Parts: sequence; structure tokens; C-alpha cells
Amino acid sequence: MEKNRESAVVKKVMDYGGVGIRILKADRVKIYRDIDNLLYAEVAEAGLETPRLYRGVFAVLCFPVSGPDRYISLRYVNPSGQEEEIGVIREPIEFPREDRIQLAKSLAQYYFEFEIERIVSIEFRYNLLMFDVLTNFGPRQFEMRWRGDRALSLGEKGKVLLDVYDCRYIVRDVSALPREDQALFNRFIYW
Amino acid sequence: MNNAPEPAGPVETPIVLGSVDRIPGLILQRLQDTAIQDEEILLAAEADLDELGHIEPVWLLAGTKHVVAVPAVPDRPLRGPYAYAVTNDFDLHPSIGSTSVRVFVEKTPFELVRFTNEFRERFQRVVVQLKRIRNNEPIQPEALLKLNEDFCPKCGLILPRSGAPCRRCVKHGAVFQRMFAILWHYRWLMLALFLCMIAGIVLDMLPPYLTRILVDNVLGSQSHPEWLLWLVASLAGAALLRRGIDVIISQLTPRVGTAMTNDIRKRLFQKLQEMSVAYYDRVQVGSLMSRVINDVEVMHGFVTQVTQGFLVNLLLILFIGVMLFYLNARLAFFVLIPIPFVVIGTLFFWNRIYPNYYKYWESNSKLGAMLNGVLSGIRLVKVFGQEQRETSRFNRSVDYLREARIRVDTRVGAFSPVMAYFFGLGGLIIWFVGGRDVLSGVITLGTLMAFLGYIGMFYAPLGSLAMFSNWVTQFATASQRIFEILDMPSETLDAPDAIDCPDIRGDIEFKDIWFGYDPYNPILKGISLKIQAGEKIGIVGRSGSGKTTLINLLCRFYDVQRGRILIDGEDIRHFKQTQLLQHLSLVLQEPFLFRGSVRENIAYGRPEATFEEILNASKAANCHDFIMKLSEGYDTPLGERGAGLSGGEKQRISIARALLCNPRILILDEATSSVDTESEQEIQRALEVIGRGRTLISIAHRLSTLKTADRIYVIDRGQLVESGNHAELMGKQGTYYRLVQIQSTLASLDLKS
Repeated sequence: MEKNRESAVVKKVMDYGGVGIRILKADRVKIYRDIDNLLYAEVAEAGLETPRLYRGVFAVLCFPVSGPDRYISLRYVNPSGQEEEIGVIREPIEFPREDRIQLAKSLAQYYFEFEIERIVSIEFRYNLLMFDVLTNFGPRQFEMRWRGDRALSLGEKGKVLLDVYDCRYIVRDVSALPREDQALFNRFIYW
Repeated sequence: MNNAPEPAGPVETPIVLGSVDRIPGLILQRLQDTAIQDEEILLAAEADLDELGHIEPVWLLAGTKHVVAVPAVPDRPLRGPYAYAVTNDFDLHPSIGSTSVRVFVEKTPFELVRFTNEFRERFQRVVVQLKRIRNNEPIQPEALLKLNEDFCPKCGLILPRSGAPCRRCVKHGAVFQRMFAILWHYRWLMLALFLCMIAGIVLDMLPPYLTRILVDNVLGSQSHPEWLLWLVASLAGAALLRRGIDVIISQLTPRVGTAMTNDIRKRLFQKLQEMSVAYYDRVQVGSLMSRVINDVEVMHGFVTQVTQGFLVNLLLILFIGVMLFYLNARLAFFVLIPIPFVVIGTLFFWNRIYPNYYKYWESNSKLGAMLNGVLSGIRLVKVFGQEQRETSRFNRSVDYLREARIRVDTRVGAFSPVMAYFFGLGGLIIWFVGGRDVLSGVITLGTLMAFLGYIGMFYAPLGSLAMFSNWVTQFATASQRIFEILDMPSETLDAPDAIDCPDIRGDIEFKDIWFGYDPYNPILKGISLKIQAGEKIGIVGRSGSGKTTLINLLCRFYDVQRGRILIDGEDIRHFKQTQLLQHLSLVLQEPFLFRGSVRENIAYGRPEATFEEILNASKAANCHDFIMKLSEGYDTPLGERGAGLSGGEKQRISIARALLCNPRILILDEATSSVDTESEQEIQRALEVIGRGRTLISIAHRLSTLKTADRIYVIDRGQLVESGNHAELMGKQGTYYRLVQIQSTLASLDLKS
């Protein structure tokens, strides 16, 4: 009974009269990079004899925090100059390895973040927090306005710090930092 | 960091924007055997990310015919060269945490160069210049080399706001000097306060001294038993006088503090009224409110601290210190032993324990916000059956608050006894050393008693003096934020020789108008159009096409960067702005009503309007009848933002307000977008009446409202693409036709659903 109710709800939610997202299946999409360094997607579309070719494709994660390995939106810029979604890849793992490499490369280009590994010091001066940290790119110093809206939550345990230029410094799990770093971090980033 | 200003000085090509002042040889070498190798390089800009997302220098080089991106790492491929002749456009493409410059070839974007957001401002300027080179226009060196106004040109620190004074470079001494200049108005009150404080301290110091005489000369040696009554009477008198002085101080201090804050708030508000619309685009209203309300309050707190805390404590320490050394210099040195502990303890409190309060306050406010959200949306919660989930969320917030509270209480609770111990330590030392001196006859018992009395008054002020640096920092910051506003030059747009415009006909002409909120990124690109007095004009276009910007320019909220706007053949920049605005009225999408009666709201622009004028304006705006249904008619009080009225009713009141000013030019900016169809029809009927005899410009989202317009101008991406009346534009089957088709389809879908 409960199951029937659930499936009915699911059906009701999923039925958008054909205007929901388009899921791209591995057997209908081919992703590759050409010598012009552009990413291409060939999509077999209903009613077309040959696959439709999209140029200048790029990938964006639908759920970068809660589901970074699934639901990748493939997008391109249409001839009118508007960004448009080609479709969504639900399970990248179902795609050939070469396609996945291109997807990963595109995502790496789209997302650029410094991941904080250690906190050397934090000083509060002139209403700014002056950070000295170790990141995946080596030591970095950055300044951040001391405001709640500059330290965003990253899932349940992490934080994204936006510096004065809007560069992103992430701590995936604050509780995984060494104890003294945590204490220092929590003293200023308490929101 | 990229805080340092871009290089300045004599301009030569190539203009180099980078960590070095010339293009590295390695980069130039890589141009060999490419299409750009023999070209003059006009500009070069250094970015910091390579194609793999590694932090490596990459140089964008713009030649006279080609543009190319050259990575400094030799094995990384070049991007380009792209010939301008084959490109369609350049743009700045933001992604997450980084940005790229893209070149469009056959309408396909190619990433040219990528960089962390640190370099975004630099490449924003570069992109504008790439477009110019592509269009065979000369590059603008001054635009490229312009200092980034978000950073201090001297030290590179980010500024609180573009162009604001730097917090690092500002002289704190100067801030205090200015504050004292403001306080100078209240110098007599301050002097009285100061004298009261001195008298109070002297009175505070009397009891231990009298106790010493009492013990040594009356109770101990009994050499002057007759002094007993006088000494006790003196102690009673000193206590009475002290309380009296306390009362006087408590009366004077708030007067000084409130007089000063009152004065500053009035000055701030006056200054804010003088600032232009463009200023309010740059700053956040919340930040300004915080300055007027909170920062001024911080200054009040500081004045109270200085007069009741700092000065008193400082004088107390000085006076008691002198007294202790006067009574017995050797014993006085022992009093100083716990001082370092007291100071260290106080600093520890402010640096380590006090920040825990932030977390507590924050969690408290989050809990309040969460509770507000859930209770305001309780219907939604119930409809979706999410009571359990909201309960869990609430419980988590409460737990977080509890944890924060425990943290504060346990730390403060542990700190206080430790500090109390150090305070007590001083007394114990004096008991031991002084007691031995009393036993050996070096000092009298009265002197020891006086010492013990004084040290209680000595340690407590030390703690608050150690905290004084915090107060000073807070005060200096708050003062600086206030002076930032007070020091802003008033932004009047009037030229020194601006002329009066007592009356106008209402002919309007826009001649080749170019404008962008960012001057290097125009929103309006060469718009020219004419409106004759008395015409009904519609302006349509997609969101962001520049419709409202056009109106902002007509009202002179901003001035054009190129071209001219003429009213009755005269450039509007020649008019005095206040007089010009008397002939224009603006009705916005969101009607803004103030707290006050309906009558006051309608007469906002003309407080001297007669009852009859108000009634006529309301009748014309089609709001008279519903106003008459309100319990107190035109005297019905309205809540904040017109609470209690529907969207259409509020809009009609705002139209009546505009109409009461009897403007020659009436502008409606999406005035009917947010009201229902019935209200829209009511408003349309009102506008038909109102429009007679005046120029009516209507920016409309619902195109059906423009059918009767004399002429409709269609704007797309900052350019005028079509004009004509409804029938003509439908016949052309262009942009307007397509917009009407889309709206008709949506309307039919609405009807079906």
C-alpha cells in the first residue's frame, strides 16, 4: 500500500508533460575533443537520421556537494549566444573511459578551488581576516571580509571561504583539520 | 596577491599588465613561426592558470591583426593565434572560482585564457580593448592602466567600498582629532564631567586614609580619642558626597554622549540625502543603515567608556599608585607583583574567551531566523507534511545554541575564579609582607589597613585598562566608517551655469545615446529617438535590454557618456536637476508607500496640495472609490510600504501621487506588471484620462497595454531595433511581433489551465 502510494507520488512528480530534463544515455552520446581543443558532443536525437553535433560543450555539476559524481549537465552556447543545456548525464560511470576523461577535464576547468589543508595563521585586521594557509596548490595568503556571507556552508561539515576577489578556498571537513587549526578556524569562522 | 596597482607612466605599446613590466623573452620566442610573429603587439596581459587548471603564467598578447594566449610552460600549446577578421566577439566567462576570456569564432566560443578571479578586473578591461581592436578602433591606454578603485593605491589593501579611504593608511590620530573637534561643542559639559570625576576619585581615596588615622591615632595609640567623632563624620560625609557626585556624573554623561550621537546622525542623514542614485548603486543600503545606527552607537559607547571607565580608571591608578608609594614605597612594589598576571589574563579573555560570544550570538540569531521562517510558512510545512523534519531542524539549532552557550559559560566560569585568585594574591602578599612589617614595627597597623583598602581599588581598573585597546580599535573603526560618508563630496549633477526650467512643453529627443554603469561596458549603444509633446509612447524589450536605463538617463539619475538628451531642444544637462524633476513624474513597478495616511502619501510630492486637488488626482487615478471604502477615508493610516492595500490599490495611489505634481512628462516603468488583470484594467482606464495633454512614456511588460500608444520603440541589447505603432510593428513581423506571439501563447496556456 505504502509502496503504491510512493510510486504514485514519484510518477506524479516525474510527469512534466515532456518538459523535464533530458537524460543523456551513453549509447546515444559521444563526447570528444577535437584538434581545435573544443569539446564536442554528438547526440542521437529522435527524428534525426544522423546525430546532432554540439560544439564548444562544457560540463557543470548539478549537485557539486551532495552528488559530485553524478548528474552532470552538458551545456553549450547556441548560435544566438545563449547558454543552453544539451542534457544531463545521470551516471558518468556508464560512459566510456575516454568520454569520462573529457568530462573530468571539462569539470576541472569549470571548477577552480584552493583546498585548504592546514591553517598557519589567521589575523583579524582592518575588518579583514588575513589567512596564511597550506593548500593543494602550496602555501597561499589571502584576505577575506569578515562577514557571514563570505563563508558559505559546504555540505554538513565543510566551508567555502570567498576572498576579496571571490576566489574560493574550501575546507571539505572542518573537523578533519588538525586540532589547533580547527580551534583557530572556529574562532573566526563560526557562522 | 594582485593588490599592487597596475603600472602607470608614459604609455608605449605594448601595454603590459603583469608581474613584470615587459613581455618575457620566452613568451616572445614562442611566437616564432606563428601568424602573429611580425605584428606589433599592442597589449599583453598575464593570467595565472593554464589549460589544465595549474597555477602557471599564461600571457595574452593582442597584436594588430591577431590575438593569442601563450603559456609560459614550453610544452603547453598556444591558444590561437586568432585573426580578428574571423572573430565575432570576445567575452568574459565566469565559472566557479575562476574566469576565462573567450573568443567567438563562427559564433562558437573558444577559451583563450583562464585565470583566478584575482585577475578578473584586469581582463575585464582587456576584453573591452580586444573588442575595440577588432572594430579597428584605437585602444584606450588610460582604460587599461586605470587603477583598480577597489584597492588602496598606496598599500594595496582592499577598500571597504570602491574609492573609500583605506583603513590601513588612514591616520587614527586624525580620527581622534576629528572626534575631539566634534566633542569641542560640548566642552563645558565635558569639563564639568571631568571635574566631577576628579572630585569623585579624591573622595574614593579618602576612606582608607581616614581609616589609617582612625586605627593609628584613635584606636591603636589612643593619642587623639577626640578625633573619633570627626573621623567617622568625615567618612560619612565623604560617602554622601561621593554618591552625590555619582548622580551628577550619571546625569552629565548621557547628555554628552547623546548630544554627540544625535549631531552625527543628523549630519550623516543630511549627507546621505545629498548623494546621487549612482552612489546608492555602489553601496549596500544595509551597510549605510548599520553606520547610521550601529557605528554611531559604538561611538556613544566609547564616550561613555572614556568618561566613566577609562579616564576614571586611569586617574584612579595614578592617584592610588602615588598614594601607595607615599605611604610605603617598599610595600608598594609588592602590590605591583600580580599586575602582569592581571594584564595577561585580561588580554587572554578578550582574545580567547570573548570570541565564543560571537558564536553564541550567531546561533541565537540563526535560531530566531529559523523559527521565524517556519512559523511564517507554517501552512506550507503542513501542506507538505514536513512537521517532523522541521522539528528535527529546530532541535539541531537548539542543540547548537546549547553547545555555544555551554562553551561560553564554562570558559567564562573557569576564567573568573582564576582572575579572582590573582586579584586576591595581591592582598595575601600585602598581608604577609605588611604583617611582618607591622610586627617588626616598620609600619603601623593603620598603614597596612590603608594599603589593603587601596589595593582593592587598584587592581580592578587595571583589567579594564588592558581592555581599552579593544575599545579604541572599535571606536576608530566605527568613526572611520562614519567619516567615510561625511567626507564624500556631495554628488550634485548641476553645472555651475545650470539654467532654470520653470516650464516645459514635453518634446524629448535622445541623440546617439551611449551609456554603461561600467563605462567600458555600454548598455545603451547609440540610441536615437524622438518623442513629441503629448504623445503616448511605449518602450518594450527583453529584460536587461536597457529600457529602464533610458528612463534613468532622462531623469538624470545618471548622465550620458556619449550623445545628448534634449527636452524642448535643450540639453537636459543644462537644466537644474531639481527643477527638471518637477516636470517629470515616475511610477515604478513596486509602488513605494510610506508609513502615514493615504492623504500624506498622495501629497508626498506636494505637501501643500489642497484637499480638492488630492481628491481630483485620486479620482483621475481611479483610486478614489476604494479609498472612500476605507474606514477613515483619506486619513486611513497605512502600514510600512502600504501594508493593508492590494498591489493594484497601492499602484493607483502612487499614480495619484505622480499626477498631483501635474507633470508634463509622466513615466510608467512596468507600472502594471505586478498587478492582476482587473487592477491593470482599472489602472489603464486611469492612464487614459491622465495621459491627456502630457507626454506619457510607458515601459510595459504586458504588450497588450500598448495597443493605443502613438508609437512603440523596441530596444534589444542596448539598440533601437524597431519603431512604429502596434499595427505597423505587427505587420513587420519582427521582434515586437515575436514578443506579442510569445505573450499570446502564454496567455492562452493560462486560460487553458
